[in-house]
Amino acid sequence: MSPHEAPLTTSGLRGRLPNRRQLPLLAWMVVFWCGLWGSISPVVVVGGVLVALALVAVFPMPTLPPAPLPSLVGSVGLAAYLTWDLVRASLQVAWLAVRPGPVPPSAIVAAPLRSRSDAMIAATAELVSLVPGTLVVDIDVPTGTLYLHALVTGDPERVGDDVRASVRRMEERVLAALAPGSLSGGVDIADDVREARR
Amino acid sequence: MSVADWISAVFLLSGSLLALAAGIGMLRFPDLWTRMHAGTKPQVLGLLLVLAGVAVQLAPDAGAVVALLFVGLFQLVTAPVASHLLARAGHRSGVVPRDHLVQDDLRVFELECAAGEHPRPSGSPASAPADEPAARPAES
Repeated sequence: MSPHEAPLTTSGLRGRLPNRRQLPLLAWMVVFWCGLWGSISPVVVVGGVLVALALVAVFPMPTLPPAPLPSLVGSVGLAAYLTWDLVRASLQVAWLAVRPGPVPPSAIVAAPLRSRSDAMIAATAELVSLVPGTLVVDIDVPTGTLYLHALVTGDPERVGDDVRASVRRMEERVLAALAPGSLSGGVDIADDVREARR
Repeated sequence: MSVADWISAVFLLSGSLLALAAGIGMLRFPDLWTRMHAGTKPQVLGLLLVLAGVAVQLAPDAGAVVALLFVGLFQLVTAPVASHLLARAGHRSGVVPRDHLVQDDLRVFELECAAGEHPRPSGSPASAPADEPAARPAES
């Protein structure tokens, strides 16, 4: 078991008050609120703080255990790759949609992940949906396996390997950005993320 | 037309074309899953391009540009989630025809589970609750 056994399911008032780890969430909600109002006047900011506190109290979110700080270089790299992937995927699917001729066949491929952390699996699954020709059909969390629906544009024999390679690259980028150091120091980062939520 | 107008026009037109292609894909593609491909990728990029085109026109109004940024951000975050949930619903309800799949690892996995090759706390394949990391098979 992990050292991060935070009592997260505390009911009652104590569990509902925001704690220090929720500060980023609160800050993000206030920023979002100000963005929606298009103003940073004191009334809006105070209103945003009140709304954020109310939301955290009414809809408490499970708190994640302490995570390493995201890496700036990794994040920029991830964003650049994502932009490129999104453009490539969009053009590819758009072309498949409008080109004359039959629609390509498809396949459901199992792609194993290296990380067992809920947060990393979620991030990878989400981003994999944006890369060319794949769609997440199911996720098996205990084995860390993504089941992806893929449009087969090349050799049907190689579709499995192609998809697994692209998922692997995406996960490496996600880990490099969000959990720096996990790639070098063994892969099984943060089983504790999931355990700490129980 | 000023330079900004031209840039806007290019963004708006290319975004609209992508959205059109997404719509055509929705009509032409044969099943739920292939349609979700059309509904998530060209559609998202199309919307982002349209937003960029609008932002160029509204640039002096920072508040409006921030609002557009949020629209794009939430589209990026929610579109994959929505498509995943639809795709999974299609899989679990079993209504999506699987006969044009050239490969179906998920079906294989379910058959293996049914045959008891992946022991789990509760039987349902690929949807078992995640509270028993112990049930992890060796390696890929």
